Amino acid sequence: MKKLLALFLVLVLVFPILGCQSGTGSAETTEVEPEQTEATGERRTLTVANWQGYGSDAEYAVKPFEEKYNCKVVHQYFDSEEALLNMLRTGGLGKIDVVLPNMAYVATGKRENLFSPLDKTKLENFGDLKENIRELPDVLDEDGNLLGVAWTWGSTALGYNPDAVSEPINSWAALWDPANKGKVAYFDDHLTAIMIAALYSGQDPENPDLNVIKDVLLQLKDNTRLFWSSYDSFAKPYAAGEITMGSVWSGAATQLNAEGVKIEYVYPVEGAVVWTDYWCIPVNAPNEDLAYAWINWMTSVEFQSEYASDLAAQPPIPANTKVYEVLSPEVRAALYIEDIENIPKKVAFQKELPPEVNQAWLDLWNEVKATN
Amino acid sequence: MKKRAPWLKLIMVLTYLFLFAPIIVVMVMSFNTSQYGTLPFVFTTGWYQRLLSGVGLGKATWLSIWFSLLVTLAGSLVGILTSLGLRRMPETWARRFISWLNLAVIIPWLVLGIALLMIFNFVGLGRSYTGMFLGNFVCVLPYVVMLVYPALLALDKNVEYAARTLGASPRRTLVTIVLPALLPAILTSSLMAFMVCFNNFVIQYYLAPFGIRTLPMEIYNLVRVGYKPDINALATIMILVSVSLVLLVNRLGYGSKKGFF
Amino acid sequence: MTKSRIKTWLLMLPGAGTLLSLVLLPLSLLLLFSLVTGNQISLSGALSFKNYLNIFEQGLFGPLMWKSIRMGLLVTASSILIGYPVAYGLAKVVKPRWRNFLVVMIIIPFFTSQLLLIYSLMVMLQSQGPVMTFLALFGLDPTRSILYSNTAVYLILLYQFLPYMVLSLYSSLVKIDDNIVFAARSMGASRIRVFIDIILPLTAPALFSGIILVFIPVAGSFVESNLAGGTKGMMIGSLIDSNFSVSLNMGRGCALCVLFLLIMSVLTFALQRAIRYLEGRRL
Repeated sequence: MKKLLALFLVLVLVFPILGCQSGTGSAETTEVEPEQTEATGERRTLTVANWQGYGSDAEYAVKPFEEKYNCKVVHQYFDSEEALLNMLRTGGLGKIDVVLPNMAYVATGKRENLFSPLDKTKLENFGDLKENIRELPDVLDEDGNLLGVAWTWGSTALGYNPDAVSEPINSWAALWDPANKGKVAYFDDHLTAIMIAALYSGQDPENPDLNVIKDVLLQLKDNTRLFWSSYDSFAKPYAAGEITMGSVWSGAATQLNAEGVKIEYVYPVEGAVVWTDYWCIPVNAPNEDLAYAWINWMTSVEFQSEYASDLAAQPPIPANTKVYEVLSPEVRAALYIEDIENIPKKVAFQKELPPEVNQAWLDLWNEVKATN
Repeated sequence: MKKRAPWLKLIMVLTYLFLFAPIIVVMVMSFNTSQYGTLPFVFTTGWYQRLLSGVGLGKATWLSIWFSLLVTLAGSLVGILTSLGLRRMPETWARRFISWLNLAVIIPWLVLGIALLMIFNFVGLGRSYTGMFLGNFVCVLPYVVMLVYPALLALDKNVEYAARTLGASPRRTLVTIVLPALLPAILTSSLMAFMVCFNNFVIQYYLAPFGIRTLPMEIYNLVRVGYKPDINALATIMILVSVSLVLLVNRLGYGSKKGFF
Repeated sequence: MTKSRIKTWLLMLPGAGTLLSLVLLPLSLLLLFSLVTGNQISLSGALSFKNYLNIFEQGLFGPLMWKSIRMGLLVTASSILIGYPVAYGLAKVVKPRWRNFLVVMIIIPFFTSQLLLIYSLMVMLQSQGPVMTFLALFGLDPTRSILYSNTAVYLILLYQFLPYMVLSLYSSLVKIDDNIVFAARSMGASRIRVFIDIILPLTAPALFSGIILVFIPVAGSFVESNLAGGTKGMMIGSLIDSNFSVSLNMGRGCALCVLFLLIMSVLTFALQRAIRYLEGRRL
């Protein structure tokens, strides 16, 4: 009996301690909440769907907004664009207020009527957004209404370790070069993989000959050490020296350099893949007015300049052109946008593919990966 | 005559070393400045500070712990009941039932998660704590049944018969004879069940309510984005806490002659 | 001794209910969707075997499945070879005082996160990390590790699933009466004989459970091979996963799954027979 009691006491003591750990972080908000609820009734919650660590969940993003609009911001993360759409398709409509899809997936969502048309008059910063991305056909619906607000853009190009090669690289051919065998990493995404292979072999990245692409990719696979699918799975082996080059996001290069790991990022002569991300408001969003406020905050110079300067957070390039003037030259260089009007010279936008084509590309990529 | 069997002890030592080597690495690296786990080793306690000042990991850990405990409890209970019921029917039927139940382990949980989400959406449950509970529960149940049922079969029925003839009611027999004999199997399967549920990323990924993240989900997102070793710090703390707990329980005398298990 | 039917039904109710609603129902949905073509989560009306035809046309299923089974067999065999001595040691050799402690210690690593452990293993194995720095003393190139290979995947999978086998075998070994073993030894049986004729039959059901709990998840795994398998590491799980998560091709994904299930069920059935045979060799 005594032993039982002792055991019970131990458990009773330990669990609250574990519980305290979770309490320390949220102490701030719990102190504020009771006051607010008494004064204003209910504190609203804005549900934001985004990638984790992609700017919108940083403290300097959430706190000012929460204070200004007296609400709570809750994030729902997804780990792939399909997961995003899936989330909306399977019960997210009516629960999620604002979401960040890639341009290609805005088009898919458009076809499935997942996003509400946006009222441009409510968008404060619309006029400042980069012209060539803010009203692309993919983000307009049949009536010409805007479905998404351009937030950031970036590129997927060639990153390499300047100490590991004899002379600077400027072409995708370096990845196929037998001299670099076993030191190459390639982004594990069927769209990017095929587009880059198309650029390298001189074909149209939006409509390449899949048979040729397959041979090209198989050649590349011989040279490749690994396929990476998240920032960390590239950064780790790169920092350890297992790989010395690969297709990589601009933001990844920014973060690596900011953390002291040297990496050179170039836009190859054959062209780079460019992607853009848009904020959209799903149909039946519970807090539409807050969603608009959120979008305005996210596209504001104030927020975007802070995010872009936070180099260790792997920022992409902001879409608000006014921000470029505010950023310091070092930040601009780190984001690879010093010469903003001129580079990248040749780009391939990551756009939507019809489902059959998407499946065909995915099948091809899986075949390449599975072949021994 | 006690076995000496030094080679046996060697295998055991090597195995435990193998199992704990990454843990040691985690604990050491939690004090290392390098974010990517590369040497040379530079001491720092910065990751612990970062961990204790952050919100996400603590909340997710707490959620995972009590949620897994709940699922384990339910799974063990139902598993024991089911095993008892299975014993009462012809063995062939029982084995067939278990084969079907095992499907919950054979179906890749990725697919099970999606299928369950569709069903839950259809019945109006959607993504919810209940849904997540049911999803984890069904993954855990086969583990319990698969360990408890064979143990039940191995029991000598004569002991039970003897108790009954001496006047014990079925329930008394159950509680005083059957269950204690099953204790190793029950506890081992509970441990496994907890392990499975605590780590069951896939099911939780699909069924967790919006905005809620359990520990595996939180870690998954974090490592994809930019794995900071504050996760190492968290793991170190959890290991130290659980090992201390176990040592304490042992000291209190539960590790006595026959042992719990 | 009457066996009350009602009591049986009552006992089985929660288990049977779970089976029906949470296992068989999803399974039926799976079968249903595998017969439907199209990308959405809606029924496009026509039921056909087109998905299956596509899969066989593509020709990826066979090789990948075979690779996964091979990996599964390898990991399972290793876990049995290691598991028996360890479980036996825990059950019979270790002092009772420390038995609980050591048994729980086996799963302590899993109180952290599985993903974290995978990453830690990778950190251990990566170039310029602890293992390679140590091996560099023997002349191996420290910038090229054994990571991103099948070996790495094997090690990681073994690490993750060994405890299941050990615990499973342990729960059964601990109940074996020492006297039986002593009796056999005193009658002249060698250690090997004791193992084959006494321990194996008595632990056969637990062995079966252990194999199920190791072989099947390993064959269906994909996270480990995605992270550490390099370019040649793809397993059947990755194929299934990509069809669900990347292209949302429910029909194709479900069809792949059904095929996977079929093969696993056949293997499990064969295994059950083998175990029955082993069990039959009881004293």
